Amino acid sequence: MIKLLRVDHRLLHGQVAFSWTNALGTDCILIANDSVPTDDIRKTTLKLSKPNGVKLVIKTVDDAIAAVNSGVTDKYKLFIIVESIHDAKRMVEGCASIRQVNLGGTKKTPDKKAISKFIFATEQDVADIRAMVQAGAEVELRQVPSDGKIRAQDVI
Amino acid sequence: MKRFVIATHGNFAAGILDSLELIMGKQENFEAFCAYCDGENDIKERVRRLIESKKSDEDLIVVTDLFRGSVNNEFMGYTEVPGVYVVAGMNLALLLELQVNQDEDTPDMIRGAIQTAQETIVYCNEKNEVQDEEF
Repeated sequence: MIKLLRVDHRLLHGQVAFSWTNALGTDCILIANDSVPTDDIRKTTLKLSKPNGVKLVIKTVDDAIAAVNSGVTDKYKLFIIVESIHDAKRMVEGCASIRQVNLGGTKKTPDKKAISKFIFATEQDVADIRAMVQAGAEVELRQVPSDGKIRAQDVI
Repeated sequence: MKRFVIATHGNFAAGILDSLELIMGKQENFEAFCAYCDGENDIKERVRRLIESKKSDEDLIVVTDLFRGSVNNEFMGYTEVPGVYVVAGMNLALLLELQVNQDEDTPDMIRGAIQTAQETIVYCNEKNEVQDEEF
């Protein structure tokens, strides 16, 4: 079962590793990203960030979609992390079972506008958020689980 | 009910509490005890008042920065008080483990958190490559 898909440009780090895995009771983290599988330094860092007792699987976005749809992930309480809003949209479009999307942090760049203190979105990102909401996903903004959920469609 | 007091030399306690809250959100039952700030040179009385403020149904877990340090030494005198627990040698991993496991029985929670936190002190240059995992 898929507990949550989170967008976080830092992928797996202390804040995610501790607060989210604990709050979700997850036993498996899937990082879906097209550059990490071939980036050994980043991959090693992410693996060292893994909390004890949790499995960590790293795949490209397409391979992650295929894995989720094949059923091999069904036995896990799965927590998926992607780097960008666009990758989240690809996952939501590719997997009917992903309908809980958390926006946890995106990188601030000059072409993006702030939709919260920690989420920066291009026009394409805003369109991708709308597409996910349209597809029936709940898209919400929270940095840590104890924050109140802010619905994405209320701030874009 | 558990109450955590982070007690340190100087402002370390306030700083690490800020770090804990950045990761885990606001914590109602964690407080900072910053010793020897603004010319304070004796914390005995402040430690005594803190211990006295413990409610009877509450476990008071004091986490200090340095074993054998004077802050820890002041609290060591109260380890015989029922419901008072003193843990030295704090790092952020220890606080995170305590926060995450605070529903456990207090001595078990402390033992588990210490073990996990010790494993997080790592010489990263010598850390071996971790294997890939599959579903």
